[in-house]
Amino acid sequence: MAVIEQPATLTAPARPSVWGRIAAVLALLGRSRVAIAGLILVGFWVVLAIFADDCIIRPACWVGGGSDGTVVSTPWLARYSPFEQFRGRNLEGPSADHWLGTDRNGRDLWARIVQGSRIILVLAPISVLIALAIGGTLGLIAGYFGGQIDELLMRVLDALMAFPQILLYLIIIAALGPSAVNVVLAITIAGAPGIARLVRSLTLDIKTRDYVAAAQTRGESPWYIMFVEILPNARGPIIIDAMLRVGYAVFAIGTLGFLGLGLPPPSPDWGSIVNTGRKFIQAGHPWDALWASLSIASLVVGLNLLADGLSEELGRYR
Amino acid sequence: MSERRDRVHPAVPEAQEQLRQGRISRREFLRVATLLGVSAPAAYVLAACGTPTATAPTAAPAAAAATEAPAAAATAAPAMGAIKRGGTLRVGIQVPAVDHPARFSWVFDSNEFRQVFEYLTETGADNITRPYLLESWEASDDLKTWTLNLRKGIKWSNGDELTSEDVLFNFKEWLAPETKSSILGLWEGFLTIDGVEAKDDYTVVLNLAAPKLDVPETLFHYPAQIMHRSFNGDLTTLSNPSTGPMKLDEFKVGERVKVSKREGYWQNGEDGSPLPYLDAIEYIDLGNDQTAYVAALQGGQIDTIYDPTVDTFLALRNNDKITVEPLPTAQVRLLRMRVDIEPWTDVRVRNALKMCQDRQAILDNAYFGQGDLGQDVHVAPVQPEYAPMDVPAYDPEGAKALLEEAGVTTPLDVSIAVGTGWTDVVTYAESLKELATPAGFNITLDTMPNSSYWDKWAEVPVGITPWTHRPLAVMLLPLAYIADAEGTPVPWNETRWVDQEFTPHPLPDLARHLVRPGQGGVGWGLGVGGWGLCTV
Repeated sequence: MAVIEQPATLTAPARPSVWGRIAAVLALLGRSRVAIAGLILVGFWVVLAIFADDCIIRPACWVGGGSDGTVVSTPWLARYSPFEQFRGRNLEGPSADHWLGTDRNGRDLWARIVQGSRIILVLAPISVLIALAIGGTLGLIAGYFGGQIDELLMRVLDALMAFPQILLYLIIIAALGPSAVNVVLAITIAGAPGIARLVRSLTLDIKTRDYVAAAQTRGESPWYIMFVEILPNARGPIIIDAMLRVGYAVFAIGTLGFLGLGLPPPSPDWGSIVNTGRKFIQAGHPWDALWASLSIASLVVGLNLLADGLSEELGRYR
Repeated sequence: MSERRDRVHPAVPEAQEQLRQGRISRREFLRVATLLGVSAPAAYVLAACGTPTATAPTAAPAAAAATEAPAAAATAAPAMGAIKRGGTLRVGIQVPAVDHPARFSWVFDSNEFRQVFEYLTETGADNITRPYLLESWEASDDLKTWTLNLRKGIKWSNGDELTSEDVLFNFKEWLAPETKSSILGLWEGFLTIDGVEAKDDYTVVLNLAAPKLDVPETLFHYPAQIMHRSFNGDLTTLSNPSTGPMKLDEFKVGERVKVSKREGYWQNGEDGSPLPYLDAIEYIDLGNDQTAYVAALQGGQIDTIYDPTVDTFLALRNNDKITVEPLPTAQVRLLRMRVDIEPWTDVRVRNALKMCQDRQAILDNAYFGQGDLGQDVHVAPVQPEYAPMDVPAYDPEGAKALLEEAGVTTPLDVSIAVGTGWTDVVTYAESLKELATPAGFNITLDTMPNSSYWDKWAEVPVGITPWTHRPLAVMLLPLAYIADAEGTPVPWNETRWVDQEFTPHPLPDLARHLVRPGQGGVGWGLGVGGWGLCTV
């Protein structure tokens, strides 16, 4: 059914196993140098986030969050707890004890940056996934049914898009208060309209294809046609768009943290590390701001390179 | 002040005797004597006569040293080099929207107008209150009748003379509930507008309902700027007559205020010509981000910064063009909880959180060790009411035991409201979170912009509030720790803590100036220093 537009390498007539498909995607990525560079950058942060402490083998600290003192995790790659304050070691530069230096509270910057990557690597994809689910559904509905439903949905979403994204974030966070859930919510609400617009335009194109007409003739329900016939065939652009959006989400989370609207302190949010650190640049201690900015930049660049490489490779078979 | 006065208040010789016996400090004597109408120079002479030859047994060495310093400064000040006239001073300071001076809610509201409008009295850096627009004052023996004698010959900028009619007008404004002035709280229970009487053109008599010693100091509360009887209710219009050495040229909220020299000011400078020395002062608003002020100071766009933060201090202390003058103040970061909200109704829970403070660690993190440690009373070492005390120890085990005794289930979730603009306040809360975890507190930070904090600072269950410096604790304690005549906590009573003995209904003692250590049970905090910064 869905093989007409796709290259043979992506979808073999006999459905390959999950591992087979992952291998296929990796092979695709492997052909692009840009994608490999992106993969290395993103992979670096993913590995740090996973192995920052021993939470991976102790599910209790996921439940307790590890920051309220009830469950104390043992640091692995992070070397220290991001909350431990070393007496008398405030605002130090990089040293053997503290690889990246310490912040104003005497906390190890390496530990905070590494633990901060966990926050951002969980929140950014989650918010994009939710935005994808909501925006994708709305776009499919608008594109497939057309007419008044399309008009109504798209005008509402246009109205949302008319607001600058940063303003939407500010309004939502100011109204709901800073927390992880609200950051995800803000990015979802601000991101969904753009995704809906993209999915709608893809749907408008795909719904004129013969296989959609065939499904309609078979008497399939509109929902079946939307999610089984149309969506899988629109996945290429959607995946690349989502990849880019994860990059934007990282940026957005950093921005919110910088504005004091991200995760409340003492959470090692990269944006808030930049914000508190920037006040000490004038005092000759640029380290907080420097490391956290570099982290955000490298992760965003990594995600963008990955998306670029992917679209390049996918485009080759268009 | 007038040297003609032949009557000395009967409490003055009494206080002098107490000083001789070492029962009060020299600083305390100077304050009481000047409040009772003795001129400042005369009070210094009386203090010299009353000071015992040996060091008073009750006075701590630190306190004794502190009393000497202001006196030396006061005498040294006039002897400073040749007077230079002219020039414009540019001050980096926020310019908030204001209308009526009586409604000023923060010191910088008043700073921009201090050269234009003046006070009846002035409390100096030595904590001594001197007459300003007044020539002198007299208190009756029972401290219930105060006679304020206006200085003669002071001209408003429109040519009118300053008379008791103007003073009466201001008292009417201050004491009217609809003005919503914080001054009202200071007179609560003492004075209504019926008690204010203009005896002649230059004499105003205050008939109080109860004895009050700090009347002259109350007249220097920062919203108490004296306006002309024709005041139109909006300070920022350029048309209001003023008595100050400068006139308001420009007022733009969030941008700038400009004041410039006016002719015919009533005070002369050291060189015998009328003040002011400066041609103009510009107050320049660079937003609420201190880094902008630091950059402007380094770049020469401004000459001085109002209220520099600890970050500013760190950024500028190694700059050779800038002198940093450490100055202990009573400015404080006050961690407080509302005693009318669970679980803080239980004193054991309050004490438990107090015991979770490793105060030195908090000071080191939040203020880089630059400041004094709080001792659980809202009285600072620079204030005369201060009595030396031990700094409470960090005792998480004891705190844990107290929480258990109080029957609180741990971990106890506590949300502390903090304004993110005060980075040291955020750090205070962050440090406390770590320090209080072993005792069974699970602290989260409720972060918000400073402006949002000021919107609800008196309402949040637990918060860290910056309180500004006031020379005397009696100028502050009635604002924050008493109830009005109906028993309702006054508007700025953020803790809702009310104590029969501490509230002036009925008045606890003759002078209301004695605060016994250990009685202010709920407010405490981190004492922090202040810095004066100016370019050389």
